Amino acid sequence: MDNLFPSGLPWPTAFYLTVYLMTFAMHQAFMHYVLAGSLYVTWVTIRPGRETVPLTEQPLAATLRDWMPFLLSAAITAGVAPLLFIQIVYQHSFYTANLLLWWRWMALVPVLIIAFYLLYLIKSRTLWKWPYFVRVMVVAGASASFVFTGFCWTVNHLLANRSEAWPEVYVTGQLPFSSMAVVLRMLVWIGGSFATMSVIAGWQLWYRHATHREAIEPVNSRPLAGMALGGLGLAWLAGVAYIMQADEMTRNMVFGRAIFAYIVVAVIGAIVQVVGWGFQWRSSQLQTTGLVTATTGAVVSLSGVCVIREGIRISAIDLTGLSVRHSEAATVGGFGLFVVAAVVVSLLIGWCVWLVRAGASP
Amino acid sequence: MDQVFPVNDYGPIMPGLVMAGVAIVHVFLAQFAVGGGVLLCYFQWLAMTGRDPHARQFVSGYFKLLVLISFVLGALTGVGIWLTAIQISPATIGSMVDHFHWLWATEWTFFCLEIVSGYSFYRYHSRLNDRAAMTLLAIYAAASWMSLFIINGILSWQLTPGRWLETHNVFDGFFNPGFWPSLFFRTIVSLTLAALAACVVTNMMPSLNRGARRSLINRAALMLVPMVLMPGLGIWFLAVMPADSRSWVLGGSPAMMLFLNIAIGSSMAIGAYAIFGMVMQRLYINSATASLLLMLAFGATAGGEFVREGSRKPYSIRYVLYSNAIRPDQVARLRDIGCTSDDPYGLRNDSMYPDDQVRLGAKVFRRQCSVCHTVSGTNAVTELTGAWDQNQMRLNFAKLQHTKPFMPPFAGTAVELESLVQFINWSSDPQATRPHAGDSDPGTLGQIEAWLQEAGTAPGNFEQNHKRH
Ligand code: HEC
Ligand code: HEM
Repeated sequence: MDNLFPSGLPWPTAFYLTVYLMTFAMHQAFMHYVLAGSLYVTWVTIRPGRETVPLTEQPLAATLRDWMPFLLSAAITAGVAPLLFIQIVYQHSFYTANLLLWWRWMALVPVLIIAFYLLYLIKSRTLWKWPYFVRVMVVAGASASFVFTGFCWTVNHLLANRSEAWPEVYVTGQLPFSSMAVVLRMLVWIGGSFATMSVIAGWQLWYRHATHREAIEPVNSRPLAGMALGGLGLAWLAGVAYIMQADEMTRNMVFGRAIFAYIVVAVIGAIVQVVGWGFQWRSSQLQTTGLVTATTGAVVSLSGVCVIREGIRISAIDLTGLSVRHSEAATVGGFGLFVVAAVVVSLLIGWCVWLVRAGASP
Repeated sequence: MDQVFPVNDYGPIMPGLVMAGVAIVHVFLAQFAVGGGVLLCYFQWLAMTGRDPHARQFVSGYFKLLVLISFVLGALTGVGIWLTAIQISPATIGSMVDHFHWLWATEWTFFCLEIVSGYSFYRYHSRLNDRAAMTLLAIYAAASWMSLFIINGILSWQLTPGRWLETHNVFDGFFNPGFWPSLFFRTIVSLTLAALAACVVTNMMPSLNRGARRSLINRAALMLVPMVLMPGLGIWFLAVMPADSRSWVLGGSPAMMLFLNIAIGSSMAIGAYAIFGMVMQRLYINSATASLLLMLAFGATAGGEFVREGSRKPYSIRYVLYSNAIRPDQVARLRDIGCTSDDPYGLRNDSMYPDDQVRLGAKVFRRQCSVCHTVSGTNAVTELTGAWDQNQMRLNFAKLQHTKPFMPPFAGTAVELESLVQFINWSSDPQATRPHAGDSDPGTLGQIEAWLQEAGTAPGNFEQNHKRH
């Protein structure tokens, strides 16, 4: 691939990859909220010891607890779309990785079911009347489940890219990559999740204040800014280390013509985020300007990182062989129906939001 | 899809059962959610128009249950069923995705609408005016029914692809002969499940007195009335089913018939109780009875899903793909090159086997038989062949599609077939000395070859071959 991604690819391949990437980025954004949110709630549950801090004194935790169940629904639903398109784009490598991991892979479903109910428990008032130990177990259990789920996806992804090792993995069950690769990759998304969560939760807190529905003190934006900047730093360190430890083919791809521009994009996004959160840190209150800046940066860098991640995969999987299948897939009908449905559904979603805002009982 | 996938061993359980198990739970929950949307609209209307003073309270309680069950378990068993389908037959799911991805993508947009409208109602309905609340509910109900509408097209295509076989047009596949009867049928099942769940929920609302409960239950029972159409729809469905599938479920396969009878029996019991007791005599039903009826409904769903999964045999996609992931047009070639030559995966516990012939047989079994049989668990080949001598095995495997027409033709060489026989022999009795241990005798192979020739490479049922052309 010598041209800028995805223009060097045959159009059906480029098209399905782009749709995959767009829906994947959406999945990541929602998932980040739940992952970083649950980790944060775990921290603020453990830290004060046996006393429970009233919710009014921890608006961020209160918002997260309130909204995580919905955002988990959103993350799961948004995950269905890339799950569909990855099967068109990568087909047997995705399937084979699933099959080779088998029950280790299937475990993610029951784990997520349990974690989902734990989120409802965390949202309820009941949990906070229970003893310290139980509270900590519940919040830590939910966080651990999300980390585990992400871990499963990472392992599946890495295994899918190693076709030469599959027969060996089938017989021995041993995974063909170092735990270093897995850990670094996980640190990228764990770190990054704090940056995204801070943006979404930042807007929620800002909105709560701006609408004056509740007479509340302005929220101190420093914890959010701190988390965002810390997470961003962690993700970048881990990302650089990941690429350094990867093989030469990967590095050639990432620093080659097709992908390098996206590194620039991701770096710019990160810088914009640093500026936005730096501004929030100084003003110590949530401001529209700071939030808009941070949001723009987050969207830009998340998009860049998603493409870089794809570049790393493409260096390992031969897309030219698959492109025949993509062309065949592109001949089946139904795309028009999908576009119409997407437009209608978007309008209806807009209507739902409008109803909630406008339909309050007098 | 010509890649050979790694196959996992489920011990005594056959993969089809795992699939059916996950599918039953998911279908049950998803249909409850679809019916629940409609039922809630009805009760919200009762509340708005002042027809039932307790309807409002009911709506709020029922919706909570719906969110806790359908948004969590329904959604995640949906992901689960997808991942399970990949485990059981990646070739099947791959082919379905290739042909219908835009329909699935369309269904996905409705999932998004479902969660947004559902959560909006859940979070805010107590603050909203009646009209806004009703609109949200109506959007929710319509979105969930649309997801049923779409998935129903894809699933019914698997059994009755109809004109799609000639045109390969997505919409010919979608509006296949089985589409309408199964859509109506599933819609009625959804209403039934939602109404029965409503009876359970009503009984669990402590603040209501018996009169109030009775009135809510009698309202919910109206949603059971469409059940009277079920026998007709069932007959319609049987009529559009391919003749061989129909004959399996109507007696050709004892197991299928049993499941069909469970489905019919449970539905009739629910229907009779609902129509005569709840609608005509306006009987009160307590939570024990309601739960019992709901359990019967689960049984009916289970029976129905088993029949749906089972009646496709030997195909997982009719005329396109056999259950063991071999395509009908691949059989002839695999008879030449063998089904193990392109299988890169070795055997787990390789050292357990006595010699290479048995190892080869194990691979043949894994590729061609393991999706429907276990070695010594459910539907075990060692038991099914228990009364046969080696020659009978050779004959019956060579003519597999004629032995039982819900099996695909054998798709391998004579050497592979012989090794399969030896593998099954060894599995039945590892201690026994095998006459041709290690090597095969040319006379035997020649005989197998002749039988394979006689069997041909087409699927078992003559009538059905005829219809394809
Ligand atoms: C599409 C699923 C499917 C596949 C693939 C399949 N079978 Fe079967 N087979 C069945 C079913 C269903 C039965 C009926 C079991 C019963 O009657 O209890 C059956 C029955 C049998 C029987 C008993 C037949 C009789 O007349 O009693 C034998 C032996 C058998 N299969 C062997 C095999 C072998 C060997 C393979 C692989 C080469 C194979 N089957 C592949 C579904 C399958
Ligand atoms: C809270 C639960 C979840 C978490 C924390 C999570 C996390 C992740 C992470 C970290 C990745 C990227 C892995 C990597 O590149 O190393 C990922 C990828 C993905 N996730 Fe999720 N996920 C969750 C739930 C789901 C669900 C339920 C689905 C399906 C419906 C899903 C679908 C996907 C898909 C399709 C990918 C892309 C895989 C690939 O490209 O190899 N996720 N997820």
